[in-house]
Parts: sequence; C-alpha cells; structure tokens
Amino acid sequence: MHASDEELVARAVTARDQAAFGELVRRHQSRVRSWLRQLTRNPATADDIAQDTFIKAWDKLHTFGGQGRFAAWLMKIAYTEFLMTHRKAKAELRLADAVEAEITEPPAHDPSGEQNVAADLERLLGVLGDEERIVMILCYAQGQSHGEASETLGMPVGTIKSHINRGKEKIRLRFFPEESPHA
Amino acid sequence: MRSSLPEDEDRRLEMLFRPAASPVADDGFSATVMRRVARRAWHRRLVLATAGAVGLAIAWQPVWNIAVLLGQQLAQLGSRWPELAWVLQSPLAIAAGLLLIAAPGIFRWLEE
Repeated sequence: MHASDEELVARAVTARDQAAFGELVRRHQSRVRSWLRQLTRNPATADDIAQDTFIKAWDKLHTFGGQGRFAAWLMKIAYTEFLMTHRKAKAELRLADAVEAEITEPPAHDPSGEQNVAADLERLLGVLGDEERIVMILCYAQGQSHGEASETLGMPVGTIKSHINRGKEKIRLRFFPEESPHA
Repeated sequence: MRSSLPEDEDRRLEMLFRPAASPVADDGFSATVMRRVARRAWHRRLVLATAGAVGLAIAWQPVWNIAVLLGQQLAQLGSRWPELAWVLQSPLAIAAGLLLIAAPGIFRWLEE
C-alpha cells in the first residue's frame, strides 16, 4: 500500500522509523536536487546541500505540522541550506555568474519563436534577475503555488507576484517583443 | 502563435521552465543520505550514553550522601515493614532509586 507523505512523516517522528524516512528521501530527492541544481548551477554542490537538507529534515521532522505539503516544507529547508552555503562560500557559489557572462551580448530575436526558446533554458534564465529566476522556477518548474513559494522563500505573496510579473515582462521583451506593451 | 491570454502565457512558461525540473536519477543518493542518518542516530546514542555516564559520575557522590541521610530516616520505617527493611536501610538501593526516578527527566533534557 502506498503511504502518504504525512503517514510516513508520522511514522518517522513517533517511532524514529528510518525506513519511513528513507521512503520520503527516495520520493523527494529528484525535486530537491533539481531545484538546488538550478540555484547553485553546480550538480556536486547541489547534491552536498541536498544531503544536508535531508539530514536537517530528519532532525526537524517533528516540527512539520502537516500544514501544507511536505514537499514545500522540504524546499524551504533546501533554500535555507542553500542560502547558508551561499553566504559561506560566496566566491564559489555565485548565482548564475556563468549565465550572466554568457548573455553580455543580447541574443538576437528568433522569429521562429517558442520552440527555440524552450530548447535554450539557459538563455531564458539568463534574462532574469536572481530572485525572479528563483521564484519563476519554483512556480513554473516545481509547480508551487504563490502561497507555497512565499513560504519556501520567506517572502510576502505580493513580492512573489511582483517578481513573477517582472520576470514575465523581461521574457516578453526579450523573446516575444510583439506581445509586450512596452516594446 | 501569440499567447496574449494570461492562462496561455502561464502554460507557455510552464513549458519553457519544464527542463528546469527535469528528473534527477537517484544513483545512490538516498542510500548515502540514509547511511548518514543511521550514523547520526548511532552517534547521538553514543553521546547520550556518554553524557549519562558522566552525569552519573558527577551526581553519584551527592546522591549517595542524600541516600545515606534518607536511609537513616527510613530505618525507622523499616521496623514497620520488616520485609522492606533491607531496601530502606541500603543507601545503594536508595541512591539507585533516586537516580532511576530522575533518569527520564535527565535523558529528555540531554536529548534536547
């Protein structure tokens, strides 16, 4: 029988059931690692932070009250761990430095449109600021609601919406200028 | 195709951002995490046991003194319950009893 996340959390908390927690790790490792890979731009660093994330989750599992999804709670821990690592090693973990370097020359508008843009996620992310990119990945790639993203990132919902609107406008201007009212 | 409707734009963005959430193969990641969790649990138990032993060593002398004093008081009760006299007059049994009573609280405190 397929136990829900909440059931597994309950088992892990009450009986310190490592097998239940192991199942949670297997279920959520992909989401957490892909999110951290987008944040760090470095798979090895992302995996180190992901490991620390799950260890912290194990230690703090009793604080998960069941409000909201377990995945969103986990993503919040991952983001906090990322920020701590990022502060400790700013020189190594510069957010999207590589991407920003790549886009010093503005990309030419491709009249063939959407397919080319979809194929080049890096270019798409490159037009966004750090926070816009983080918020838009959470909402559009990880499928979080604005409320969940607000919880994960510790930002008001209004700020999340502002980042999304600014991000959308930048994408429109860069890749779909004919749709932008400011074009 | 133009996508001027907000829902269309959201769908387009979901499609564009989809590669950012591409699945990551486990490749032993979960096993590594669980090994760390198990090691951590073992380490925690070891620290707890060591702290308990150190606490016991520190607490033993004062507890023993209290037990001796209590033993003297309880000796009088021993005459009423002859079958319990050996317990009530034994400082060791009293000290062990006192530590046993305090143990859950001490362990909870150490754990926290």
